[in-house]
Formats: sequence, structure tokens, C-alpha cells
Amino acid sequence: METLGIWAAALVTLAVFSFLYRENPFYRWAEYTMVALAAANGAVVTYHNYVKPTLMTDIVQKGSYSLIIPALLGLLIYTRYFRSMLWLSRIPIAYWVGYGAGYILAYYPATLLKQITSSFFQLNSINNVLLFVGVVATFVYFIFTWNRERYPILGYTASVGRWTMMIAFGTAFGSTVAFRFNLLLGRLQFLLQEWLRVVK
Amino acid sequence: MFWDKMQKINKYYIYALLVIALVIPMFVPLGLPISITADTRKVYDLMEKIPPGSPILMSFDYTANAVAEMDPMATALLKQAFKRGLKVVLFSQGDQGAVLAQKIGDDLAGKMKKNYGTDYVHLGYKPGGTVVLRRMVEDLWDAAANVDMNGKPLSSFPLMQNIKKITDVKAIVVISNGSPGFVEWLNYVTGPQKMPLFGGTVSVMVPGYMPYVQSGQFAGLLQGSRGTAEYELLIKEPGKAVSAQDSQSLSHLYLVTLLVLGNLGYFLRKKPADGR
Repeated sequence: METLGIWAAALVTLAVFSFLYRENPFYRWAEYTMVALAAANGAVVTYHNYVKPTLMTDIVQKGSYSLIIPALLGLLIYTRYFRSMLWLSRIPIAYWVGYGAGYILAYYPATLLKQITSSFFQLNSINNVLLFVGVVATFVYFIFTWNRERYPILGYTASVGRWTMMIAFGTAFGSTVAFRFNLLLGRLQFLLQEWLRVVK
Repeated sequence: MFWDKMQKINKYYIYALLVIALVIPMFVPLGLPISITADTRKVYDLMEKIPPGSPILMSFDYTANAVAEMDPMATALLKQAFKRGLKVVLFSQGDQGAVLAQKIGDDLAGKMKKNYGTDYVHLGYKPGGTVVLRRMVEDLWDAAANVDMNGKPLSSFPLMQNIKKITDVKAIVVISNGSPGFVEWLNYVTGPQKMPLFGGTVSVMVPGYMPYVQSGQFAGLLQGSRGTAEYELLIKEPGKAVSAQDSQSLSHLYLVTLLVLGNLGYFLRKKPADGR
């Protein structure tokens, strides 16, 4: 069974790699299969891990019948398939958006304030000085209300901010490339070590 | 002339050379040295400081597309936890992470003779996103619908008898390749409850997470495959990440060479009459 799994994974990997040559039926088959499997897996796991135990334990066994209300509210999302009742599907979405917005307003400021206070530090090392200059210059870059020709210092500071951001983008790009290389390396290791077994 | 030709080089040559750069070290290891960075040592020290027998929660918040980088990282972290005799509650904010956690957890437990229910329990994936995390603060059992990954009641596991809410665990260890992941744990659990949060992420997420590390909101962060390789050396269990570092280094060298050549080509090629 394990061998079958390895062969299936190897053939699907090669089907996806075939896209490097050009779009083809093997690649499309692999892509559609992946999407279908992910959707099916998500549905089954959600049902067995949450819906079933909540229905059986909380509602049926413990008699928490109030849970039927949010369950019905959630089911309203499926009314979007019927034109005449489509408006009902907006109720759970409105509830979810309102809840989400309130949640974020309640919890995010604490996280962000901590980030701001942590940028107040003593300028006793090169790292701290660079960080301070980078933070201030980047903030200045986004000040558009003052005329930079009238206040040249703003223009100079903004260009330092621009360079700071460019360096940050370069770091992000480098990390992205490293991640992609690692994905390819992972697949090559699988093909050579587990499938073909030519490398230990 | 040379640089004009280089500008039109067939992309398949570039692909082929990249594959060669990645594959050669698998056959002929270069043995390049791997030094331990302060960030990796910090994660190691955090895990070492947790008293043996204490419970921790490990959240496998990554998807199947990141297994190359994340599986070795999760394995190394769980291995150290088991080695130190910590009790581990596995969890995932995503359905794929739950399956990956089960495979790694069961494999390692089998090898290290750890028992399900007493040494570790897998809560699985619980849909609901941040609502589940928030509920864990008040009632972890209820947040998990009172069952583990396989639908067995939590009341049947000795390990869960003393873990009724999230603050009963000593630390949250997150292995994540994006969202949901670290930030959700920070906003809704570890930030308000002042609990230690550490773990690891893929290299692409590292620049975005560094402000959290700098502010101390993430107590420690393993950074991609390189961070895992260092961690494997620290726990004296060299594995997949260590063996991948030669390939990584050679491929990065190849990329730097391409960048230099590309820029040289841009500046040294014969410029068209319109100056573009």
C-alpha cells in the first residue's frame, strides 16, 4: 500500500512538472484532482471533527438546544442557491462580518501597540540606530501633505525611507526564492530517495 | 554580442542547471559548515527550560505544499519535546495540518515509545478559526467539541484531565507557513494571556515575522530549512534539513551568479538606438 502511495505521489509530481514544458492534460488532471481532494478532505474532516460531535454530544446528549439557532443561521447561507430566498444568505454573512470586525477591534490594537512601544529603544548599537533611522524614514516617505520641494529635508528623509523599503523588499524576494527552491528540493529528494531510491 | 546572446538564452537551460545544482550535493555531499544562530538557540533554550512532565500545545498550522520545509522542522521540535519528557497536545488550525500532525506524531511516538493518551493527544482540526482559539482560553474541551482527532472523548485520556483550558499548558509551539498561524495565536491567546509563543516558519514568512520577534511577541522563531538544520544539530539528531543544506547553498550560489550575470548583461549589452 505504501509503495502504491509513493508511485501515485511520484506520477502526480511528474504530471505537475510537465507544466514547465507547456500546459497539457496531465498537468490539468493533477491540478483538478488536487482541488477536489482538498475540498473533499476539508468537508469530511469538518463533519467528523466538529459537526457530528457537536450535534450528537452537545445537542442530542446534553440537550443544549440553543445551539440549534446558530446552526440554522449558518444553514441560511445555502439559500443563495434559490433566487427568491437569496437575501436570507446575507444574514449569516452580516453576522460574521460584524462579529469579525468587533473581534479585530478588540484584539488587534494590543498587538500593534506592543509593536510601536518596542520601537522605542536606546540608540546604543548600530542595529538600533539603523532600525530607528529605517522606521522614521519609512514613516516620512508616506507623509504626502507637506510639499517636499518647500521642505527638502523631507525629500531626503523620504528617499532614505524608499531605500529602506527597497532593502526590505529585496530580503522578502530572497526569502521567497529560497522557499521556492526548497519546495523543488523537497520534490527532488522525494523522487530520488523514496521513489527511485538512487540516493540514501 | 556575447551579452546579447545571453539575454536570449533558452529558459530550459536555466531550469536544467538549477536541477543539477540541487541534485549534485545529494550524490556528492559538500559538507559545508552550519553555524548555529542566536535565533535558533533561543528556540532550543525555550524548549529546554520547560520542566519535564509539563504539557505544551503544538499547533501544526501548515499546509501540504510546505512539507519540504515544515515536516523536518515539526519533527525536530516534537522530537526534542518527547526527549525531554514533555506532554504534548497536538492541534491544527487547518485540516491539512491535522493530517500531517497525526503522521509525524504517530511515527515519532512509535519510535520513541510514547503512548497516546498519556504522553500526547491529537485534538485535530477544529473549524471556526479564531473563535476556536478564543474558546480555548475559557474551555479547551468545549473548543475541541470534547473529542480528539479520531472522535474519541477527551475524558478518556489521562493527559487531558489536567488540561481544561489553554493556560494549563506551559507554552504554545507553532509550526506555520502563513495564515492562520502565529498571528492568530498571538492576538487571541498568547498576547492577552501572556503565554510564551515560539516555533518556526518557512523562509518566505521570516521577514514579515521579524518585527514580532524583535518586539518579543514571538519568544523565538526557527527560520526555514536553515533554522531547522541548526536545530537538528542542537538536538544532536541530524536529519533531512541538515542533508538539504548543501543543495540549498549551491542553488543560492547559482541564483546569485544569475543575478550578477543578468545585471552585467543589462549594463554591457549593445544598447538600441533609442537608448532603452
